[in-house]
Amino acid sequence: MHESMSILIVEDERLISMMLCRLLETAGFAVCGVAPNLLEAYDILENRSPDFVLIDIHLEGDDNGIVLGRRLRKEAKTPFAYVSAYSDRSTYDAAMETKPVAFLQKPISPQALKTILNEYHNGLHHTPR
Amino acid sequence: MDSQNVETILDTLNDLSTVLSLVLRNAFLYQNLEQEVRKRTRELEDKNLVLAKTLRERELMLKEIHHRVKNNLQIINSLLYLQASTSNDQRVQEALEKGQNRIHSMALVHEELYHSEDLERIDILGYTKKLCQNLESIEYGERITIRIEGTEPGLLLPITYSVSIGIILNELITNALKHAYPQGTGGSIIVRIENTGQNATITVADDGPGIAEDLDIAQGRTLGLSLVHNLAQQIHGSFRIQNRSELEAGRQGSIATLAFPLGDDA
Repeated sequence: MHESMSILIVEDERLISMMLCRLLETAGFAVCGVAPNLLEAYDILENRSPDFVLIDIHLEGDDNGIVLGRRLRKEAKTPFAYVSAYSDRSTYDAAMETKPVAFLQKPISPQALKTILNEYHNGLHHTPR
Repeated sequence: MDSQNVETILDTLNDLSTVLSLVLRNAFLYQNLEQEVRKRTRELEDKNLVLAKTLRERELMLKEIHHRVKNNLQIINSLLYLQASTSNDQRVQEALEKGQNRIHSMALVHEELYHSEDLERIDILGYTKKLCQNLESIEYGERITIRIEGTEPGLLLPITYSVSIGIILNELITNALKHAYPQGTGGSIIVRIENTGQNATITVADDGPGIAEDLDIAQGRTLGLSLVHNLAQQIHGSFRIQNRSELEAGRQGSIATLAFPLGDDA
């Protein structure tokens, strides 16, 4: 059902990215890559053209996922959602300025993530949370 | 000028000199006092700056602790999810999913504390709403609705209570979602949170067929209910589950009631 939708996971915590990979693949999505930092994320974006990007905010080597969100918003090609444990007001506001599909807080609810991706995939309007 | 006038003038000059010396002395004392007040004010301002800095540092440290605890709980949940995904046994998957939900209920306490004003207490009503968003979306969203009610004033609890209450709420709501509406039936679950000042009461009621009379729920045979009984004791509270018809004739469904005293730190 979701075979055509490929997803890039930008997450530096390996156990969490492993869980996300398994969760997305079980739900029928294809994971086209996992990047722990911005450099690797840009490389995968260029070479594998994902349909959707899941972005953690605090990344390896002090990289900030919001920088990637801004670039994706500017290019307006690839939709994305944030998945972050940092949910203080200033981080949240800065993230929401980039107009993501959603802002999910860790601990991630697997069902909530699947629902957001399914709604997006099915073309339903989703209010960022 | 006669001698009497001279004497009067001298007396007046003498008085003036006394007054002048008093004025000068007072001026000197006033100046000293002003300097002392300025010095003390500066000292107090410096102390306030140090206190404010310490307070900010404490807040940042507490936030960082809640964040790290939350992150570690997310990692534990990821491990349980990965473990569950390697098994084809539905019972194993269900058991690990229950574990994940329990950990999620604890992580949510730290999430709420992170956002709370004093970083020490959370609003149980707001917490319950977020907890239910996760539970409701699991698989029951369309056939079972959850209504959450709270009385004023709200119930603000410190972490010592919140983790226990979070796990209890998770068990009771999960229990109602899984067992109150068998064979694909639907209905509504009402979670009510009451704060009477000295005590608090939390009820979870459903409008399903109710509990079977021979079901010895009070003994807490399942791990979930055993957790509820033990955590209720930990917060010096009482717990019971009964059919709603026992409280109101003709009423369908069951109701679980947790009552506990609000101690000095609650």
